[in-house]
Amino acid sequence: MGLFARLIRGVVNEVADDAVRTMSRDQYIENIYEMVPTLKKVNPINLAEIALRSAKGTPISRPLGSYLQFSPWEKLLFSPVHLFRFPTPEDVGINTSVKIGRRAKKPLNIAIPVMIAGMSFGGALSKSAKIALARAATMAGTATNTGEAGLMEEERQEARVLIGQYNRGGWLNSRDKYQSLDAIEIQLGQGAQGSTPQRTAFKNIGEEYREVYQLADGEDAVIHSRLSGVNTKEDFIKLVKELREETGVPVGLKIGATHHLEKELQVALDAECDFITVDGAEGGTHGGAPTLEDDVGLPTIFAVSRASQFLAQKGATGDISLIAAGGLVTPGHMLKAMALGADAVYIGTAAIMAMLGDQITKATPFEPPTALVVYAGKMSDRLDVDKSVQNLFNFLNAITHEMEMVAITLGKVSLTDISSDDLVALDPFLARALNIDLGFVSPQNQGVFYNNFADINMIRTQPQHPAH
Amino acid sequence: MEHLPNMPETLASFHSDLNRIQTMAGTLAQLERQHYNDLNKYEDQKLASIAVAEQGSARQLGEIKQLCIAMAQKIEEIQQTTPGK
Repeated sequence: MGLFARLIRGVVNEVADDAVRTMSRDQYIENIYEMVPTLKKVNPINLAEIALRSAKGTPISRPLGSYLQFSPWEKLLFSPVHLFRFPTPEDVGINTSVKIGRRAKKPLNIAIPVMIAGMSFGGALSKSAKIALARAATMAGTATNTGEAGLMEEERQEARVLIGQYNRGGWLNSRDKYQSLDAIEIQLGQGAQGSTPQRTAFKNIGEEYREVYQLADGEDAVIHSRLSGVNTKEDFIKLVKELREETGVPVGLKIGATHHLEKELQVALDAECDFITVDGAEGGTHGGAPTLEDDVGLPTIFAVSRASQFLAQKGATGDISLIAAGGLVTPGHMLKAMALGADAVYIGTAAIMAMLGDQITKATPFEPPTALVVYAGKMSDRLDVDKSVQNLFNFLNAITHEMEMVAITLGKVSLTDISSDDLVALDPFLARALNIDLGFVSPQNQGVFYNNFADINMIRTQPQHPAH
Repeated sequence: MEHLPNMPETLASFHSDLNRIQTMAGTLAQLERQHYNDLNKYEDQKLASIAVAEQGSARQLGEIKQLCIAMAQKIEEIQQTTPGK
């Protein structure tokens, strides 16, 4: 070891010893170690957000949605087969294609069941990011989504399949715009923000943004809590019927998942929607109030399962496609959502991260990676579109291949054949809620297991109130 | 329908062509999958990238095959209801 290195080690040793001595002697009120229990109590994210709120006095906007893992996907496992049923031979191609809105005159067909979620140009992403998403989706044979925006011609040209959001800002809601779409998704809410209004101040709106949204000079871009002209259930039914007749493409409803789910879905059924998108509480966003992201909604796993069970009860399975969204970041999450009843899934955050790939080094360590893709990002001009397209295409290919591998071990020839019968739960309450077997006991002993629970009063059949 | 005297023959022809297309799409998809496996054996980055593209194409051919099957089934339904089938 050289002299300089020994000198540095000596200094570091002295400083560390002094710090440890100080921390072990000083009372908490004058001890830096106080930060450790404080951070553990408040947590670093909450602490940072307290500071951000206290600096400006206005709600803060957190990108990419909640950091909380509401859906216990890890408590579900697929069940491989070996002899009682055989795995799929490896030379058999697994069908990955999906048809959305089969009752529509022009159903939507995609080669893989993973679509790019609604992320708007301007409100969320830069033009180059949107074009990269559209190109990659087309390469993979899937759809991309406009998000709550106007119609950007370049996106329309690049996307083989474009789903457009009939939105609460009204920017895509004229016939000349929605007629060029392959499917229309009436956006009444999202997992990350419910049906709360949103506003982009005119000072943050550039020329191209203004043009696509057809905003006047000095006008803010406002997403209202309600869709203009839809104030009753009948208004919504009328709107869906008009859009279906005018365009012939699948017309669907997107909502933020909620405990009122079945009541909302009944209206969608009455309106004869072709598809329903349920966006769980884990859903991403360009930026939303942490309270809306962390404390509002219903986890994706329960939203998908409940929606699927509701459609089955109503005899609408297959006629109305179910699309799951919200915090689906691994192929396992995506395939489990499909097994629980979704026909296809949307990915947003994962698509953005995949698109960035190794490009995040351009932003880190001094800027967040999203600076490369968001509309107002400091580094959006440094996004390499071709590289982004290749990265996202590779990601879509890889996750689909991983899903195909699961299909093989389940003995299936199509991803759409995978159902909740292929899953087991590692939690009794989850198993009950999702209506799937519990992995702790054999299929024959499922009833016995739960009956014994009832005997020891763990599952109460009647509400019990404490005696006063 | 009555204005189209050759409708039963036309439908039969479409049905036959769709079956041909779906067979071709299935064969090509199988071929693309084989290329994916073959190209991946070389451990070359460029060939691996071509392999990934081949795999994507195989899936899109699979989609075409499914579309053809659905259309052929629809034609069968129409044939059942067409007079003089």
